[in-house]
Amino acid sequence: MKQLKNDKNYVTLLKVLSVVLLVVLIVLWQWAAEKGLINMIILPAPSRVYAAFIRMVQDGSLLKHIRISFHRVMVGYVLGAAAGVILGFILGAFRSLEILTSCILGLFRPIPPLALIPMLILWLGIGENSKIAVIALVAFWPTFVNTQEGIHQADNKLLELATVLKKSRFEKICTIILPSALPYVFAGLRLSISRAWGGVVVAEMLAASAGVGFLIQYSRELSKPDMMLVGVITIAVIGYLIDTLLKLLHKRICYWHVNSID
Amino acid sequence: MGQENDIRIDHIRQEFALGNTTLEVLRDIDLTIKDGEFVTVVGGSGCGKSTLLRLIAGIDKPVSGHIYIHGEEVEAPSLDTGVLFQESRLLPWYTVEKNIAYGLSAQFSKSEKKDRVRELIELVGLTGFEKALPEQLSGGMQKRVAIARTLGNRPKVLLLDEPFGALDAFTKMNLQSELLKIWEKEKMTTLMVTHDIEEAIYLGNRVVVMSPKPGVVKKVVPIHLTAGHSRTSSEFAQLRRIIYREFFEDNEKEPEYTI
Repeated sequence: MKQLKNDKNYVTLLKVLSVVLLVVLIVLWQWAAEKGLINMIILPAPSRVYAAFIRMVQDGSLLKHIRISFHRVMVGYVLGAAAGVILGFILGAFRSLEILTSCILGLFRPIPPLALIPMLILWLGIGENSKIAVIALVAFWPTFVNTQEGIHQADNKLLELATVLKKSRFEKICTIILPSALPYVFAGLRLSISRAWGGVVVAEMLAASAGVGFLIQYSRELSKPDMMLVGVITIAVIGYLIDTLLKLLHKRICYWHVNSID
Repeated sequence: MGQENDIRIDHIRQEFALGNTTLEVLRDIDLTIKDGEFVTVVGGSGCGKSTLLRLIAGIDKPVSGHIYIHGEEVEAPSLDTGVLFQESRLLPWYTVEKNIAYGLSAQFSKSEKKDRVRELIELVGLTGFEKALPEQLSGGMQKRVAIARTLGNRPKVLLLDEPFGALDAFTKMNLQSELLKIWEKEKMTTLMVTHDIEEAIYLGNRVVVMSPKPGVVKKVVPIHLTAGHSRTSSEFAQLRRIIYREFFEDNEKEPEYTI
């Protein structure tokens, strides 16, 4: 049994089954809706959601909303994550700076960025800038915290080896500190993107005239639960795709495992 | 500057801070190692043997006393001194090749580096594993990579800090005899710290016995094995007994050993 668990075929089988499980869930949902077990006004059948999806694809509205949300997420994410990596690296590398900023950062960290939306609207206006700023803030923290932590993870024994081999500080950073931090940076980047994607929806629900978050909010006003679900499912699918992409990238870039080396 | 004494350890004293008190780790260590000699230091854990090695390597600085290598005082690590640690300390993100090349000084040109790495891989018997990552290698093979990396710059002094301590008995014996072959060929001045008495006798020209609290040199036993490096000879057994008694039957008077 233990051997079977490690078996590649077994894992593939499980992966296929996970898709089957999803399909079963949808079929059950459809069946329950048709039997009248679910109130269609609250939860429309998958077939209706699909019909709404096709309608919205054809009139181009869905793509427009996705494009707008996606753009906000990407700009905000790149800004926030880049700031997180850079600042995390600097504070991780310079201990005195880290201690010096610990009070300020310690107080800012617990503030949910979404709670700052009204403030950001006040400062940056109701337009794109405030939304991008929120996303940037949301994306900043996980990447920042993980990068900083990752820098600390560099093995002192490897650093000592580099000292014995007369490596410069710069060489140590490039050959030991950065590669050690990389898996942590990636963990942060993944957390950041999923949070940023969630954040944009909330930001758009509060103040926007387009975007997937707006779509969901607007559908409620129109009492169109099928459109609402199209919005929700869109968020889910895109979030899943982004995460999968980053996971693949992670495996590509961090190709080593540390555990089996003494 | 005479080459007679390659490493001279002169009244070394080392302390560590331990809360509010200081712990004396090494007291008045005096030791000279001749050019091309293989000296092993044996002692229990906490006798300061690794501390001593770190001082010679220039990783740490002593509280007082001096260490000279080739007449020059040790201030910092040098590429003329190769250090092999207990852990193989390979960079997990580098292949075998790259890990070995990592040890080479910047004075090697690119093509020289390539040739030297190939030579070293052959020397430690890892041909065919050039592109392997450390995680794909057994502990013994990882150790071979570390040995190759340490030998890369052809160090004049080799410092070994219990390098085979974590390996299984057979791998250990294999690597010991290979290390001996390399040393016999290159004749670098070598100091090995170990807690394994047999290893100390098998490899050393002299065995330095240290005792703890504070770490002092208790005895220096010259090793003359007429039958070569055989682990099974009666000479070997007798030396083993002599050194063993230094640790476990302290009060018993040991007759001076002569050949």
